[in-house]
Amino acid sequence: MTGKERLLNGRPREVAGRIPGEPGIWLFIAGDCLLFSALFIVFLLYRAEDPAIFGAGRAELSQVLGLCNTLLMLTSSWFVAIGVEAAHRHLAGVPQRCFGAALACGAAFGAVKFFEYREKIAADITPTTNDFFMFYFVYTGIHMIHVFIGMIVLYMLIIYTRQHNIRALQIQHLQTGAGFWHLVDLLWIVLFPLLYLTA
Amino acid sequence: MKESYVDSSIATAFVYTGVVLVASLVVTQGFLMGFIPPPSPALPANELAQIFIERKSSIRIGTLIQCICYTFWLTWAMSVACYIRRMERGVPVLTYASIANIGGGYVFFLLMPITWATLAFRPEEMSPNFLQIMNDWVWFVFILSWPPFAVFMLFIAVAVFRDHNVPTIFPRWVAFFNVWTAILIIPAGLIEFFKTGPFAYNGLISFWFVFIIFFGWILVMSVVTLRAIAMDKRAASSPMGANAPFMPTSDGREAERA
Repeated sequence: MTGKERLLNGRPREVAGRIPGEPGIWLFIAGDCLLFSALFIVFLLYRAEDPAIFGAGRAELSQVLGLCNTLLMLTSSWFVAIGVEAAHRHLAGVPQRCFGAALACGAAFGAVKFFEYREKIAADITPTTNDFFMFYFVYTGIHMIHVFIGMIVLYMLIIYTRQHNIRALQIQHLQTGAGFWHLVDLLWIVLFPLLYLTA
Repeated sequence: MKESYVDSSIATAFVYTGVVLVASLVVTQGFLMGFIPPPSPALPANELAQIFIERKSSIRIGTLIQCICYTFWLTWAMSVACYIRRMERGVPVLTYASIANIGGGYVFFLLMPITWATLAFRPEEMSPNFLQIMNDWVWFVFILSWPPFAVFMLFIAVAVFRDHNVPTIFPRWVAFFNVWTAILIIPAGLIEFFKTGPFAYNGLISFWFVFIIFFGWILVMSVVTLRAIAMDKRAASSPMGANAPFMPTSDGREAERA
């Protein structure tokens, strides 16, 4: 950045005024929110028909594990945001470590889910047990696929930041990847209260 | 690289075959056969057999039209594959993979009407249980065969992301759109586990949602490909013009990519 450019929140104005990442990723994010909105509405419609089963199902979920995963998701998102910010400020070596930490949080999220699923299946609770567990397994499963894809995206960000000099990094690429990870986080933030908390 | 030109009239005709495919699906499966949405997987075998006995003439006519129009999967998808070729440099790996994928996918398309036609051939003499299993098979062929189609969407996405032309042949949002549709059709895999509800093969998510996304994807990609053809044509009509963005790229014109 040159001295002439006016700064806004420490960034060149032209960057601050633009939408973060590639415009295409916002199409994707909006589209995915559309999918999950449809899924949430279907869930609410089924729950309205059978509140007893859904209430009993919710009581069998572990709120502690759900909360653990919520904290892991929020922390990972925080790391990703810090990583992009570090790239802005040309702090060499910091972005890839932040993305690595976010990736580790994603892996930990997967591990918690694995134990959660295993516990349920050991207790003979499967997707065919009742409608609540059908939704529970399918929705958390679809979300888990997003976590997987997000981890691949984070890995690509790590490779990208490693291969380029900190000053040659295109912030837009980082923001595109970060945008996807924040989407994964956002979806969980809605899924968690929907499945684990609200009666 | 003269061979990277795409013949615009053939390509345009190929794109429209995809539109014909979608239209034929709505007309035959929807209006003629009454299989949009599918009969419930929870329907008793004898009631299902009754459906096939009552509708056998319209099923026969519908499947005949489908056998013709579903062949257009091949022609339609090849119009997209040609533009994947234009995006690739060196050994066109994604193009080869797409062509093989399209050839395989087209077998799934034809298997559906052929199996239905077999069921409507002598439904009265068939054991209802056997007919029920074969009817399940058609929907499983139809819906559970989503992975090769999702992979084709990912091929398109990767090709657009790595497109070296300036400007790119398909706009960049097409890549994100294809990744999105590839993810959206994943719930199709759930039909194995449920006989009722939103994830059964007649359900809101596993049928309606996947169905609309997939055939909507064909229509969106048709529009995108028609635009690419139109841009090609404009470039060809002024081949020496300074603003001829779609001349076959020589090394001097290629965007620099790491």
